[in-house]
This record gives sequence, structure tokens and C-alpha cells, in this order.
Amino acid sequence: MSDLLRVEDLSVHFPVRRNPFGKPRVLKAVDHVSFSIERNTVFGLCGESGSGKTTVGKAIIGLKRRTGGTVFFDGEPLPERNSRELRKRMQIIFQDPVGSLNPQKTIRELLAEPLRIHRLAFSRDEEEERILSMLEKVGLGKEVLCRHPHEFSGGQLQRICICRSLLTEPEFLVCDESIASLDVSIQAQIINLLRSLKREFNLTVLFISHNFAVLGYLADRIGVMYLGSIVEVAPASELSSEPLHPYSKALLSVIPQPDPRLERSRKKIVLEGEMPSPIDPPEGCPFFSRCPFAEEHCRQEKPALEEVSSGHYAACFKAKELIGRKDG
Amino acid sequence: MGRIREFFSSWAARIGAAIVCLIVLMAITAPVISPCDPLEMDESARLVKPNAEHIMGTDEYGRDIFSRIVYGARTSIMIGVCSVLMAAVIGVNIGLIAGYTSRIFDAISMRLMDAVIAFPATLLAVVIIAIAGTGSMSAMLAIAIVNIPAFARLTRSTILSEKNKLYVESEKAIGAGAVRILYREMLPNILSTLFVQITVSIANAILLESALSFLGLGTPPPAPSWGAMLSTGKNFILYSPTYVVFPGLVLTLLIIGLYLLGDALRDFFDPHSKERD
Repeated sequence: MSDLLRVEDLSVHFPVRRNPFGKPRVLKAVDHVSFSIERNTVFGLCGESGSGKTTVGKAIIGLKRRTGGTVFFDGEPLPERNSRELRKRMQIIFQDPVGSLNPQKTIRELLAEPLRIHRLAFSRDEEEERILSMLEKVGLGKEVLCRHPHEFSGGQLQRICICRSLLTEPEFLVCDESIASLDVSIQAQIINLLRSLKREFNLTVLFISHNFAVLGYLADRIGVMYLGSIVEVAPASELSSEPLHPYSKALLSVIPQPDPRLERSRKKIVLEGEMPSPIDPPEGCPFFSRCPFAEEHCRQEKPALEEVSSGHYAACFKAKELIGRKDG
Repeated sequence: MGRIREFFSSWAARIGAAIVCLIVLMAITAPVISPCDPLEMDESARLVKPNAEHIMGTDEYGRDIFSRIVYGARTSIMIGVCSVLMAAVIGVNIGLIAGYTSRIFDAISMRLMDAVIAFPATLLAVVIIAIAGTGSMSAMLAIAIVNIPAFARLTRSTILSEKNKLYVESEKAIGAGAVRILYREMLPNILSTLFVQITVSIANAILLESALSFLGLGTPPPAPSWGAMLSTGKNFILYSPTYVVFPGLVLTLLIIGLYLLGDALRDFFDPHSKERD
């Protein structure tokens, strides 16, 4: 199987300057992140807010400037600014469907735009035809075309956003918290819609979410991010059954179980403290300050992402020791 | 249609629109409603008081003041509207580019705008006319240049807040270029703010045109102009006060009308100024 997308050593740093005379400092939103996504698979990226997962998605799409590293798409390294052709092949669906549609325009104008920008329709009739067939695939009808975004609910708007992204027939789709702002009942619909569309269009998806349960259902592989770094990557099933990194263990232990008996016996690992600031982050392991297993060694050196078992990577010096340990 | 009715629910909008419409209508129908030729002199009827024949009296050459006011409205409105549109087109483009693209262009153009603002408007206009020569065209040009910074800065600041909105990012993501994002996506969203500025600027431009004509730098005689009428009228203020009162009254009325309209537009477009569903 070949990788459609390979991210090597990606860094996104922002200069921050609190006062004009202070020395400039660097916010490391994403710091040396590497992973790859196989064709026709879903890669889930999870982590708490501020961990840099959204920035990874935007840096790949080209909405944030990459300050280091390379992203290979279909074997080719991405240029500093993504060309129009690349923008056609890679699309993104944002968290907030209300904000991501220009309020002044009708749905017809909004949907025609990607076709016009990439010159995908040669006549008005063809344009209309393509829009209608894609609308049907996301579960909407012709009647939405003449209306404005404010007349729709969040779920409907997210369908419209999905439709708009898929009109350019992309190969790669980034879903940036695409369901987080929706009702739980609508979330399920949108997840299932994305799943079926993924199959129909042979999409490769980077699904960014803080919701581990959703990723467990959707993703083939999952990466866990903490403070701008990926701390663990594993196949979805393996990560949910046997997380290796102490952070993933803590993250997974707080997912509620539907079975009340299991729920009662569930042991929660509650982390102490807050995630450190990504401005001038600590030298060693990013998780050092909150890790229950941390040793002096972890403070000084940042552990690399290493393969612990087949296809299962973790960035922790103690990962091997932690295999099989269920406690926190 | 509901939006239009909503707009006219405020008294400021009704009165402002009525005044402006009345004067614009007067300017358009000038040949029909004016009783005399505004340039025709009558040696036998100089500086007459208002009477049935000359409802606002005549000036020092015996020309009918009412006709001159009616035709003067044409000049004032023409110069006001044209110069503001010119200023808007140039200023908005500067603002769009400065707010959205390069920081260097932003810094240079905004310092240039600051320099223009640093001069008092009338003084700057006088300097420009001194360079370009007197006449309606150079008055128009001078008024336009004076008005550019207001548009440039307004557009730039609106774009700066607008460009961080999510829809702009989503446009970028689907592959739209800077030109498309600026002119097709963002410009329509800031038009409401610009409308308010245009209305107020037209009022200021008409005032400035009158001021220039008052100084003898605007519309050249014998063409009728409110400012010039005020200027010569003031010499006869003791003998024939109506000469200077009527042009001043119409000018004041038009400015008030435009300001009321501008205020009403701002309240209408500003979602914070009143509760809306």
C-alpha cells in the first residue's frame, strides 16, 4: 500500500512579542511532527485543545505557513504555497459551518464557486447538474439552492460545506473538528455521511477531533498529539485496547463506557495540572510535567517516536515497560 | 421590501431622504422649474427684494436668485457626487490592498494617507487648485484627493477584521485567489459601511466645494454656484439680506439631509445599535 500523504518533521512556529521592547519568543504550535497516511484510509488526530492538531491540518492544506519540515503529497513534496491544482486535490471541512460560508451569498453561488475557480464545468447546465448530483449525495435537495446560509441549521450547513469541498473531487480531505459544533444526534448522521462518502469517492481523510470515541469508530490509524508533538501513533483498534504512552492512557481512561457495570469498574486517570504553554515549551519530554512515570532522564531529553510493536509508535522512554499495565 | 420599510421606520431616514430627494429632484428638473435663465441679466431689476416675479429676489446683475439656486444645485451635487465616487474608487482599492496583502504596501500607503490627513482639508484643496489651476475639474480633483484617506482607512480597518473570519479561510481552501477573495467575497460584505461613509463624504464634499467657490477657486463665474453666491451676497448683506440667506439656507438644508441619511444608514446597518431578530 502506498502513502498518499507523508508528513516529515513538520513544524509550525509563530513569533510572539508581548511588548515591543521584549525579546521575540517563539510559539511552537507544531514541533517536529511526522506521520503518514495510506491511500483510502482515515487517519485520526486527537489531542486536547491547544495541542496543535488543527494547525497540522491547516499547514498541510496550506492555510498556515510551514516553518519547517516537508509534506509529501502523492510522492511529491508540497511547495511553499500550494498551487491551485493542489488546492483542488486537497480540501478541508471546518469546525464551524456557519462561519465558513459567506453570509451574503446564496447556496447556489457558494456551491458554484469551486467549480468556477477550478473551471470544472463548461456550461451553466453542467454546473447545475454537478451541484445537484453532489447535493443529493450529501442528502440535500434542489430547494436549498436559492436560500442563504442563515436559513439553515448547523447540520444542514455542514452538509453544504461537505458538498462544497467534494465538488472539486479531491483525493485528500481534512476534517477539522467537523462535527464538534453539532448536536449529538446530528453528529452521528454526519459521521455516517462522511463514512459513506469516503468509500464512494475513495477519499483519504485526516480526521481531527478531540473525541476519541468518534475517532475509534471512523479512523484506521490514530495519532495522539500533546503540546505540538505526536506522542503515539497506532492502528485505531490497538490504540483503544492498549495505549502505550501515559498521556494516551489517561485520555482513554476518561471515555465513558455505555455498559454501567464496566463504567463502575473503570479506573479514571486524572492528570494533574495544565498543559504547559507552547511558548518556549520545556526542553525534554513535553508530557514531563504531568506524567506519573516521569524520571529525571525525561526532563532532559525529548523521546523520539519509536516503533514499540509492529505499526505501533510511541514517544516515551518507558513505553516498553508500560506494555500490559492497565493502571495509571 | 421589508428591509426598505424597516429603514424608513426611523424619522431621521424619512426626513433625510425627503430633503435629499427634493433637492436632487430640483437639480434634475432645473430647466422646467426655474422661472428665468440663471445667466440672464436685467439692468432694471438689480438687487430687488423677493416679489411675485422673483420669489427670492435678484442679485447685483439682476439675475433671478431662485433660478441660480436651482441650477447651482446641479453644480454642487455633480461635483460632490463625482469627487466622492472618485475618492471612493481610489481609496477603497488602496484600503483593500493595504489591509489584505503586503505589510510594506500597508505601511507606505497608510503613512501617505496620514500625510494627507495632516493638512486641513480646505488648505490642501487650495494648494491642489493652485497647482492644477482653477475650474470645476480641478475643484473636483482637489475634493476627491482630500476624501481619499477616509475611504482608504475605513476600508483597511474593516478588511483587517474581516480577513480573520472563517469564510475567508474557507475560500482560500477551495482555491480562490486574492483578487477573488477581496473583490467578490469581502468587498460586498463591507459595502454597508462604505455606503454610510459615501453619504457623509458627499455632504462634506458639497460643503468644501461651496467653500472653494466662496474663495473664488471653485466653479468659475458666471456659472451659478452656492458658494460664489454666498461670497458676493455677503457684500450686500445690509442692503439685501435675502441674497445671502437663501443659498445658505438651501446649502444647510442639503447638508442636514445628507447627514440625517448617513446617520440613519449607519444605525440601520449596525447590528448593535438596535435589537433585531
